[in-house]
Amino acid sequence: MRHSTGQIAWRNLWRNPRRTVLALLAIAVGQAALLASQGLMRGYGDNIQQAITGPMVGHVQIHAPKYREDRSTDLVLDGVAAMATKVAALPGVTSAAPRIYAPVLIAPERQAFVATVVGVDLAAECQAFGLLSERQEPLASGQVLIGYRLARLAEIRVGQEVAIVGQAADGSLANDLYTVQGIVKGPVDLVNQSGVVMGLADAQKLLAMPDQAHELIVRTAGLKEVPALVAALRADPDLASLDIATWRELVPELTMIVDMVDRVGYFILALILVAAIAGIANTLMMATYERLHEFGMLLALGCTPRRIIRLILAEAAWLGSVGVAVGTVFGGVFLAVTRRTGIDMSSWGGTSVSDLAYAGMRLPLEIYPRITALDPIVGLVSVVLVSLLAASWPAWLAGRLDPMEAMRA
Amino acid sequence: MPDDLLIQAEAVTKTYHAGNVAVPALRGVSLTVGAGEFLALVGPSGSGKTTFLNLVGALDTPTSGALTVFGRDVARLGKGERAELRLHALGFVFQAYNLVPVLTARENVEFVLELQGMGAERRTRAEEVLAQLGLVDLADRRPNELSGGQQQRVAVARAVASKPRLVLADEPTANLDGENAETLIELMRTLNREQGITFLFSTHDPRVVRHARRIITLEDGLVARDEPHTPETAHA
Repeated sequence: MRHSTGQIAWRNLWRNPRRTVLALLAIAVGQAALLASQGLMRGYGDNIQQAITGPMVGHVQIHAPKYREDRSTDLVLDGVAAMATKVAALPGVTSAAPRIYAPVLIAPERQAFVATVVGVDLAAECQAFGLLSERQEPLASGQVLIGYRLARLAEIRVGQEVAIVGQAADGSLANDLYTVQGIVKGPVDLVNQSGVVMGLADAQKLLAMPDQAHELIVRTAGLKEVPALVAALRADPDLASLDIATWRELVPELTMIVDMVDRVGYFILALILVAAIAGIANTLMMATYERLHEFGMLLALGCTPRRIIRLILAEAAWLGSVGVAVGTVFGGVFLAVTRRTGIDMSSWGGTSVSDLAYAGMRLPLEIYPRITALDPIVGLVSVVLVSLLAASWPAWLAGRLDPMEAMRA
Repeated sequence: MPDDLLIQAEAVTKTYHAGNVAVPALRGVSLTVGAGEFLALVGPSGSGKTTFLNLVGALDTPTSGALTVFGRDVARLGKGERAELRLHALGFVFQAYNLVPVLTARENVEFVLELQGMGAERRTRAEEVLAQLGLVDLADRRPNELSGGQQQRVAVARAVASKPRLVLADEPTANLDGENAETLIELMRTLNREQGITFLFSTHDPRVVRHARRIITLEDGLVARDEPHTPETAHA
C-alpha cells in the first residue's frame, strides 16, 4: 500500500473522531446554508426578473419620446402595425406587441369608477409571458375584460354592459359601451386593480388612435439577446428618434434588487468562510499541538519539515472538501425537495397575502429555489482554499519545530 | 577518518541553558566507535547518555569540541544536511516506541523507506525485515493493537529497514518487561552479528548491558570507563 500524504492525513483526521465530525458538520452546515440561501436568493431573483421581463415590461420597450415621463395619451407611436412586424422579424425577438393605455371612467350602472383602458394585441398577449397568457377564450370586438379588483370594487359582473368615458388622443371625448366578457386576475397588478382590457383595434377606435399605440413591448428569447437587439433598434433610422429602453432602464429599482440578490450570496459565502476558518484552524491547531512529539519523531527519522507541512495542509484539505461534499448533499436534498414544492414566503409573515406588487407588477412570493452548477463549486473551492489558509499557521508552526524539543513535548 | 570509524568525538561538550543558569550535560567526551560494534552507553540518569546520542544522531550540535559522524562534522551541518544524515545513514529506536499510530506495522517500516525515496520495492523490503524480526503475522496491525514488546520490535524493524550502518537506541528496553527486553536485545545483537549493523544504545538495565560487546560508562558528562565486554564474561 502506498501511504501517501493524503492517506495518512485522512487517517489522522479520525484519531479524534468527535472533533473531526464536529468540524465537518460545521463546514457541511455552512455549505448547505450557502446552497440553500443561494437557491432561495436566485429563486427570488428569478421571480423578480420574470415579473419584470414577463407580462408587464418585456425585455425592451419602444415609446414616443417623453411618453414615459408624461404618460400623456397623445404621445403615440405611429404606423405601429408595420413597426411591430418589422421588430418581430429581428433576430432573437419572440414577440413585438403594441399596447395602448388610457385613463378612463367606467360606469357599470349609475356610479363611475376610475379605470385604465389597456388595449392589447390579443394574438401576442395570449402567448406565454403575455398580459393574458393564462387566458384561452377569445375576446371579440366590443367585449372587455375587467381586472378582478376593479370588478369587485365596482360590482361588475360578466355579461354586464359598461360605459367607458375618457379623453381620446386627439382631445375629443371618447366614449362607448362594451360587454364584460370576463373578470381577469393576472400577473400584472395594473390590470387587476384598474384594468379594462380590450382588443387593440377597439382601443384605437375608442381613443381615436388609428394604427397608433403608446408602447411596443418586445420580448426576446433570453436576456443575452437584449443588448444586440437594442443596438439594432437604435441603429434603425425609422426608430432612432423613438425612446427605446431595456427592462433594466425601465424599472431600475427592481433590477437593483436583482443585482443585490446576487451580492447577498457573496456576503453569505463570506460569513460561511469565516466560520470555516475558525472551525478548521481550531481543529488543526489542537491536532498539531497534540502531535508535537510525533512530529518531532518524524523529523528525527529524517522527515522534512515540508512533508509535515504538506501533511497538515492535506488534513485541512480533507476536512474542507469532505465537509463541503456532505454540505452539498444536505443542501442538494433541501433544494431538490423545495424545487418541487416551492416555498410560500407569504406564510412566513403570517398573512394571507399571496402577492407583492410593485410598479404595477405582481411579484410572486412562492419561491422555487434554483442553483447553478457553479454554486457548489464556488463553495468547494472557497472552503478548500480557506481551509488551507486556516491550516497555514499550524503548518508553519509544525514546519519550524526542532525535533528534539518537539520530542520532549 | 578510516572507513570503519563511524563516530569520532573529541572533547565534546554540550551545555544547556535554563534561564540564566548553564547546565552542562557533556563536559568533554572523547571516544570513537568503529563499524560493527555493539556498544552500550551506561551511567546514572543525567550522566549525558541521551545528550550524546542526540549529538551523534545529528538532532543537536555540540557546544564545543569536535564530533564527526561518518566523517562529517555535525557542528558544521545545516538543518537540512542533518536531516539527510539521519534519513540515509542512521537508524533510530526510541524509548517510547514512537510508531506512527495511524499506520500499520508494515506501513511504519515502509514510511521511512518512502522518505528515502524508495519506490514500489519498499513493500517487499518492509515485509522482508518484518519476517526477519518475526513480525509477519503482525504486519497489518496498528500500534495500538500491538504489545509494548511488539511495538519496539517494529521500531527496530523500521530502524534497520533502510540498512543503515549505525542504529542509535535510547533506552530501548526501558518500557519493556524482562522477557521482552531480553528478546529485543537479542534481536539487535543478531542484526549486529549477521548484518554488521553498528548499534549504539543507552541503557541502565543490567540484563541488556550484559549483551554489549563494549561498555562506555558516562558520569557527570564525562567518560568514566570505556571497556570491552564479552557476553560470556557477563554470564560467568
